[in-house]
Amino acid sequence: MKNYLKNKMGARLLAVVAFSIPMILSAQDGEPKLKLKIIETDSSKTCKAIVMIDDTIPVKGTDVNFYVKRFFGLIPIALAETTDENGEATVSYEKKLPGDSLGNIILIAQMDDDDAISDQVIAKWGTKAKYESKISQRELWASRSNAPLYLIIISNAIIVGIWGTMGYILYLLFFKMKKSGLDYKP
Amino acid sequence: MEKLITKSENGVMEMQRDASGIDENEKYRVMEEELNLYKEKQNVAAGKSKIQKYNLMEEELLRPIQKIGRAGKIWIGFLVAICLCGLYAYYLQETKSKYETISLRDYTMWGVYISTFVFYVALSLIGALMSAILKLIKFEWYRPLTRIAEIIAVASIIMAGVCIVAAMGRPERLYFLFTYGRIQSPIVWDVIVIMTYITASCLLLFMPLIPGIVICRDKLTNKPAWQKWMYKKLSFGWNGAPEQWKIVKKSVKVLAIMVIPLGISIHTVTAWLFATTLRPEWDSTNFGPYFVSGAFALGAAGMIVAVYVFRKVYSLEKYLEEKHFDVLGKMLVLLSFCYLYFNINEYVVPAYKMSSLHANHLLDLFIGKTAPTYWLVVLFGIAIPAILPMFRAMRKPLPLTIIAIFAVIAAWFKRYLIVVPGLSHPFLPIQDVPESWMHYFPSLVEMTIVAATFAALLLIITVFSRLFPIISIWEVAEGDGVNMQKIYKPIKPEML
Repeated sequence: MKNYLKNKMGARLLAVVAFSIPMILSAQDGEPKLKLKIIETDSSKTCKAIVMIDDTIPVKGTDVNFYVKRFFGLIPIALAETTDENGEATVSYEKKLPGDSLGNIILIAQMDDDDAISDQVIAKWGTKAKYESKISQRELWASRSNAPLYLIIISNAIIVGIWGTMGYILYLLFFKMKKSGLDYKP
Repeated sequence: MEKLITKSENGVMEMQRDASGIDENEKYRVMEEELNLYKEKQNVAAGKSKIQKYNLMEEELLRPIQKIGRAGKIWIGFLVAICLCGLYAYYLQETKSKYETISLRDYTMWGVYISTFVFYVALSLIGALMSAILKLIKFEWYRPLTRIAEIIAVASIIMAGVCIVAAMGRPERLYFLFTYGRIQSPIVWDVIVIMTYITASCLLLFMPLIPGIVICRDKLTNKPAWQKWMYKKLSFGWNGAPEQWKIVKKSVKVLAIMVIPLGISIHTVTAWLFATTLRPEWDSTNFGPYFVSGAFALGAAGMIVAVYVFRKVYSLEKYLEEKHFDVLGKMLVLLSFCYLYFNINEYVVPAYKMSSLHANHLLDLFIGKTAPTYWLVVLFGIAIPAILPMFRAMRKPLPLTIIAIFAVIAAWFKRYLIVVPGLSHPFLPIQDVPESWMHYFPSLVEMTIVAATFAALLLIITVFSRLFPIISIWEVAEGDGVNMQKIYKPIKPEML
C-alpha cells in the first residue's frame, strides 16, 4: 500500500511535472501583449501601459514608448518608460495638442523592442480644432465656383476692358461708318 | 521738288517779315507776287506728279487681284489638296483608335500638334511687332509691310487654334472648357487670350483695309458678281467722308496700342502652360520672356521670307525695296541676340549647376540622341541669324531670305525640342510601361494634319492676297505725302 501510495503520488507528481514543464515553456514563449489605459482625474491625466503575457504574466523591465498620433507621424510623450513588477509603465500627459473637431486625440503606446506590439486609445485631451476644407474656400486650387475674388475681378476687368474696346470699334464700324458715308455731301 | 517749295515758303515768310519793317516797298511786293506765283506752279506740278504716281501705284498693287495666272491656280490647288489630305487624316484620327493612329501616349501627351501650336502663336506676334510697334514709334518704312504682317498674324493664330483642337481629340470637348473651365487654370487663360487676339488681329487687319476694299469696289469692275458684292458689303458704305477717315485712323491707333500687350500676353500665357506643368525642363521663371523673345525673332524671319515671296511673285520690287531687307536684317540681328540672351539663361545656367533633375534632359540635348537637332537649331535659329546679317552683303534680299528660311525651320524644331524631350524626362523615372510610351515620333496621321495646317496658313494668305491689296495703298500713299481725303472721289449715296 505504502509502495502503491508512493507510486501513486510519484505518478501524480510526475504527471504534474510532465504537464507543467511544457506549459511553462509555452508560457515563456508566448507573445507579450500591451494594453493602454487612460486615467483622468480633475488634476491629472495619466497613461498607463500594461504589458502581460496571456493576460496573466506581467512583463517586468521592458521599455514602453508613449506617443500622440499626428497626420504624418507620432509625437512622443515619453520614451523608454520601464515597466514595473506588475508590467505597468505610467506617464502623465501634460501636453496641449490640437485634436479633431471634438478634441479627440489618439494616444499610442508601443513596446520599445517591437513597435508592432502596441495599443491605442482615443482620448478627449486635445483642443478642439476647426478644420476648414481648402477646396470649399476661395483658393487657386478650388473649384470653378470658388475661384479667388481677386482673380475673378482682375481677369474680368481686363476682359471687359479689351472686349469693350473692340465692341466700341465694331459699333463704329457697323453703325457709324455707313451713316457717315450716306450723310457726307462733299 | 519738295525741298524747293519749302525753301520758297521760307523765303516768302522772311520777305513778309522784312516787308512789314519797310513801309509799302514796291520792290518787295513784286518779288512776293512772283514767288507766290512760282509756289503755286510748283504745287500744281507736284500735285499732278503725286496723283500720277498714286494712280500708277494703285494699278500695280491691284494687278495681283486682277488676274490669277496658271502658276497661281496650281499653287492654290496644291494647297487645297494638302488641306484635304489633312482633313482625311483628322477623320481617321477621330474615327479609329487613337492608340493606332497617333503616337501620343501618357508621357509625351503633347507632340507635334502642340509644338506647331507654339510655333504658330509665336509667328502671330509678327502682327504686334510689325504693324503695331513700328507704326506707333513712327518708323515710316513699316507702311508697305504692315498688311503682310497682319494677314500672317491672323492666319497663324487661326491655325494655332486648329492645332489645339487636333491635339485635344474629341473636338466636342472644347465646349466643356467653357462650361467647366476654371479661371484659375492656364488652359482657360490661353483660350480667352487666343480668342481675344484673333478678334483684335482681325480688326487690325480689317479696319485699315476698308479704304483698300473701296478701291477694289470702285476699280475692279470686271470681277465676278459675288466678288463685287463682297467688296460692296465690306466697304461699309465708305464714301471718303472725313468722319469715316477719322473712324479708321482712330480704330487703327487704338487697336495698335491694344495688340501689343495682347500679343505679349498670348505668348506669355502659352509659356505659362509649360512653366506650370510638372516637368523639370519647364520649371523655369525665364519661360515667358524666353518664349516672347523667340517669337519676335521668328516674326522678323517670317516677315523677311514673306516679303521676299510677295516681292518676287507679285513683282512688287518698287514697294518692297532693298532698304526693307536692310532694316529687317538689322532687326533680325537685334532680336536674335535678345533670344540668345534668354537661351543662355534657360540652358547655360542650369547646365552650370547640372542638378540631378535637369541633368538627364540637358545631357540628352547637349551630347545625347537629341544633340544633332539641338545644335543645328542653335546654329541656324540663333547663331547665324544673329551674326551673318551684321554684314551688309548678307542683308541683300536673297542671302537674307535664305538665312530667314533656315531660321523659320529651326524655330519650328526649337518648339519641338521644348515640348517633346521636356515631356520625355519627367520627375520620376519612366519604368514598367509599354515600349511605345518611352519614345515619341509623330505618326503619319499627325504629320499629315500638321502639314495641312501649314498649307491652310499659306492658303489663307494666298487667297487674301488675291482678293485684297497685299500692300496698303492708302498708307503708302500717305507716306509719300498724298492727301487721300482729297484724292478720293465720293460716289453717289445710292451706289453705297
